Amino acid sequence: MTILLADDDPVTLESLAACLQPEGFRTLLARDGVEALELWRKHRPDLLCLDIMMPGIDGYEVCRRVRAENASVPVLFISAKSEEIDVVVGLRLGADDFVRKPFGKHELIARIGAALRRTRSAKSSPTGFQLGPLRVLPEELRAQRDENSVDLTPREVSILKLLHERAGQVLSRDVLLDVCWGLEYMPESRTLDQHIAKLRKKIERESEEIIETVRGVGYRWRGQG
Amino acid sequence: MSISTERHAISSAGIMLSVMLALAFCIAIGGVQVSRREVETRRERDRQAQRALSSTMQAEARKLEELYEGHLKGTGELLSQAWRDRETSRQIAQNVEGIVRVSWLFWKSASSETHLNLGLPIEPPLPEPTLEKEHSGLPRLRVMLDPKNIFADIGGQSTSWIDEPGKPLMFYVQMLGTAVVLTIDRSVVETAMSGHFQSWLEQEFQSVKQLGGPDAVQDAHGKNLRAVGTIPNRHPDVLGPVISRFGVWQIVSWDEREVRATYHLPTLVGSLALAVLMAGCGFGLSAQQRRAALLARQRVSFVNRVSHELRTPMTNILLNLDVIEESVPETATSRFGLVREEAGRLSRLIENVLTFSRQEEGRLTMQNTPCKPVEIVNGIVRQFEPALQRRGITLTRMHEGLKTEVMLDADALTQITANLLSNVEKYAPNAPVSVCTQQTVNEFVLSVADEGPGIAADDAERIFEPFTRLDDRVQAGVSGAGLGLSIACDLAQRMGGTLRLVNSEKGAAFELRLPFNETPAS
Repeated sequence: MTILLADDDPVTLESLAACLQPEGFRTLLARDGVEALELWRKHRPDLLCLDIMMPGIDGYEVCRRVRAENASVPVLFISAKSEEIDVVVGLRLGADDFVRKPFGKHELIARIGAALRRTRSAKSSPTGFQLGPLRVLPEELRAQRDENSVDLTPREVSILKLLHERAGQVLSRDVLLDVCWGLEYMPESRTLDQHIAKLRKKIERESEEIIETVRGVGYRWRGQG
Repeated sequence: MSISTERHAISSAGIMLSVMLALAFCIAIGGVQVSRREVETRRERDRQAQRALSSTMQAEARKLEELYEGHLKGTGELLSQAWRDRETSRQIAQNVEGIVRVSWLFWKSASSETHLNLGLPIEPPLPEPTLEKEHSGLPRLRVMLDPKNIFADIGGQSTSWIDEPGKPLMFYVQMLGTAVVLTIDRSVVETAMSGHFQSWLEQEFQSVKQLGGPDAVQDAHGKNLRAVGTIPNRHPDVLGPVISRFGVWQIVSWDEREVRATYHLPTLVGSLALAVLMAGCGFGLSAQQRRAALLARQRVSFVNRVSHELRTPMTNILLNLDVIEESVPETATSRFGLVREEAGRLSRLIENVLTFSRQEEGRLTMQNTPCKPVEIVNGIVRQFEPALQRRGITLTRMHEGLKTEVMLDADALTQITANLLSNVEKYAPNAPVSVCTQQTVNEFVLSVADEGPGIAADDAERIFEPFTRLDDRVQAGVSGAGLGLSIACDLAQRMGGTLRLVNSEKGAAFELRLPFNETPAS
């Protein structure tokens, strides 16, 4: 999942990337509209987060040009401008959402997930896999349990996917880190545990254990159901 | 002064200025009118020509009278002989204009009088001349004539006018004991004379005409026989009457008049000074109001700009707090939590100030987007949980009904929920709080009820007003700008819903009701 981030404030840009990368998003960073358009044409990311006020070409213009080439890629505006007219202009240009500053990581990821879901569910019927009581929908970055929907990050989806593919097998920490984080990424050991803990909090109910901890080895999904 | 009141101030400044200027104008006009005096100057004209015309015309009238009298005398003589032949008498009498009746009065005769009426009967009927003191026959209107006068020269001939007030004009010719009395209609003779003057003046009026007027010759009825110049619509300044037995004509003349306006200086100066003072006050007050409004606008604009500028660094703080969250050492977790809560509080304050600025500038509108209200509330509750725990507040969360996506302004719902929970955090420490939501097909209800000290009935009315803070709580050291509930209430109303303080046994309970008609397109 690749996201193009465009903001003229380098701190914001770096902070956004730092928030999204650990959650499994690949990020492309642009400091102005021209760079954003270049990166868009070169990498065709899955989603664009654009600031409005940027030197050269502003976010509105980037959105207009991207929309001219691709009508379905989700575009989010992230801006300190929050007047109704700014929002209306942004949405009329075909943006999927308008995220007003200030916002936190969780709000941003939730908005990204919602924008992706809307675009993807409009394109095709959801495909996914069953993990116990959960129906995991990787394309939409969410899992469905009864009537409730749980937002997931790409990293969480890849963990659940691996557990599903290797149902019944105990997955060691190294395997999980190699597959879900990539060989080139060297996360701390407790990063995995924190992710699993967060994931459990999201998908498991009280006294329920979908992801089983195998002490000293790793994690396992038994595969029942 | 808020922007809405500022706009009101600008319009009321305009209205006030208009009223003051109108008053000043009225005072100035009134003063001019009251102080104005019109002085008329009359310039008398040389009227030699008019006086000469008057004399000539009087002589002409006398000449006409004599001529007429001569005709009457001749006619009377003829009629004195022809009294037995009525038809001949009629023909003789009709030769002279103005004769309406011929009466024959006899000196010592068997029949003392005979009358011949000419033309149609006259209404009212003319009294008949008679010598009889006691009349015989039917009663009739009579004029008693004195036989001593008429028959004074019984052996010879005598003529005279009988022109007395209350009697018709009569002329008699007496010959040898027979008196022919001719009753004359003055108006017929007057008309005939006017007709004569009309043509006579054609020549005679030239001398007056050359002067350019305004002058005129009028008959007794005010009809102009001749006129020169523009005749003013007022009484003439000079009358030159031409008097005759049959009527009166007059030569009328007007002097030149000049009307000049003067002003009573003290009144004029006083009223104008008052008007200027009034207008000056109007401009002064209006300028003062506009200046105040401008200052208010600049202040709100400044607050707005500063708040905007705060948003980006605030975002960077929040994002970086999220980034380092997982790598915070155990020993610093609680401090980290505090920093995060304070950052959240600060961003809510920025959001409230900005919303308030937009409200004041009339630029706040709602933007409906697809969202799940239950999840929005849950997200805010999660953010507040650590702070509530630290203040000893136990939170109970409940939901009933649907959890589907609806069209609502997610930011507004977030702000309302955060403001309600922020109040609980501030005002209900160490007390349980319940956050209940309910969603039906067309309404979302959020109830936040705490068991804190509650709100006194007297304060219930004003808690939704901006900058309202309850005094005792200020003393208790609770911070806040007094905007939270005011903004929450306004946002709820803008979303077509309500935010109310509802009755509760203990503490304060707020109920938010948001209707929605649209559902997101599937």
